[in-house]
Amino acid sequence: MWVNDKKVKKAIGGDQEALLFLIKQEKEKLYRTAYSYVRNEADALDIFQKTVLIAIESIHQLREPKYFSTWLMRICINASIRVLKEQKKVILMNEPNRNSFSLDTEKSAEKLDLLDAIFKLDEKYKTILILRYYEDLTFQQIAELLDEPIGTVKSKGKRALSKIKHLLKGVYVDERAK
Amino acid sequence: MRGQNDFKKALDEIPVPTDKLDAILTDTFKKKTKKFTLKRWVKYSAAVAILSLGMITSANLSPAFANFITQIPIMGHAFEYFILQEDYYEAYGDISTDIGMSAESNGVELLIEQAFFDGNTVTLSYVLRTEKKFDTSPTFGNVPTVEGSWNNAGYEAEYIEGIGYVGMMTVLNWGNTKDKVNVVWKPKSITFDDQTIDGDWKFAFSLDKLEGTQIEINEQVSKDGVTVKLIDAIKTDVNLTIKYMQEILPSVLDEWSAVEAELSAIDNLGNEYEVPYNGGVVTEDAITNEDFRWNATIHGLNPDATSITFYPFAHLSKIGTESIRIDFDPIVVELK
Repeated sequence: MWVNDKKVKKAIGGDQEALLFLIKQEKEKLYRTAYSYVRNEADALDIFQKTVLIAIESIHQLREPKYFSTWLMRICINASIRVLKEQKKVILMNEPNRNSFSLDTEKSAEKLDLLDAIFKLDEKYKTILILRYYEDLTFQQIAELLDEPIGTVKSKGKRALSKIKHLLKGVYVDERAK
Repeated sequence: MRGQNDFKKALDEIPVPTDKLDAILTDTFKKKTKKFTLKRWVKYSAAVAILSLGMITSANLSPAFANFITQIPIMGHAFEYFILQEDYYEAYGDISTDIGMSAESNGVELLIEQAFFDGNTVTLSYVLRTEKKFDTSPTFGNVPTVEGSWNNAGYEAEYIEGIGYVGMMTVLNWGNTKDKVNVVWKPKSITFDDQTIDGDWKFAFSLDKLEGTQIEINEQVSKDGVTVKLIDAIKTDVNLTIKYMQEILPSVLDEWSAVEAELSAIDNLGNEYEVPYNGGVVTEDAITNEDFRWNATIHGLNPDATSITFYPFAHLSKIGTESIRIDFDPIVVELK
């Protein structure tokens, strides 16, 4: 989270090359986050582009350089949720073509189970888990970011984990939530 | 399976189409950044070379040339450097306000020489004094604000032996057009290749808007699902700024991933112009990601022209390399 403060300052000041450099570092995480919501490449790419556009347009509003990565992730999550909402307005004739990639090893199959469980989670739980475990934020930081009481965030986090556990039939144990 | 690391590992199993992400980044940044290319500083560099020779051989310099040389370190002549590449900089130099401000911090001197505000963009010339040429042009930690807000900005500089980097910067003012704008520039740092020097250079000045004529256009052309709409323009004695939009039918984006509409123009006297854009923003009521509002400038518009014909064209491209060009019907605009 504390990467490249100087570069971020330059980006905030209008240096587009610095911003491009910074977003490039985050691109995979952003794409995967978007994918975890929409579960198909085309929409995930779309969300990625929206995130880049919004980042370029609003980077000057970022006050704390150290929160660059989190700020970018929040834009991406908001864009993902918006796309999901738009999709809900449309009656889906087909389930999106999800998990259109295959994994070979046994170990990967296990991961795929977890991934599948993450995919199936309700978006409000997914958001908490992504921020907590993919973005490494504390519950306090998540609460600030989402503008929700910390108690709510914590209980959502616990609920998210129990849902994952349920989906995995009890094989998932989170140590940090204890 | 246990632990939060598994969560990370699981998400990391999602394959990433890196090439497509890179293409999106390149395309999006290109659209949002000003097209601002300066050609090489051939004539001026040649003059400096002659100067060095002259000093060695004590050759006689013509008075005009001597005058030109003496102007080099003096404030207020930065546009001279640019005239040598594009004629219109002469007009820009003539209508500009002499700013003549210098600020030094941590041993680095920065000067703003001249500036003007055409109602749309602030253009300013600056000099960054350095003794050596760097691999890449130095970059600033901040660009100027116009009326307190950040805007699309672009700058380009060239190294001039014995002076440093002489640059031209434009800052786009998307907001409402005022008759006078306050420009503040506090670059908190300047980066020379890998080295960043922090400092507290400060400039603040105001500029009166050049006299200009507002021209309403509101005409549009459509083809193959792409609509280009010319909205309005501001004509000054030295340039013409035009605002236009591109609107894309969602179905176009089933096949193509990026659309970029541009203009070229010919006036009624037969002069041809490029219409490089200063920047673009997604429209407020955008239906697709490719619905853009553009702001572009014709530099050096002939003052005798009474009408101008715009030729819109658009490039549709796929992530990767494939692209096609669409040419639209021309739109004639009377210059009042």
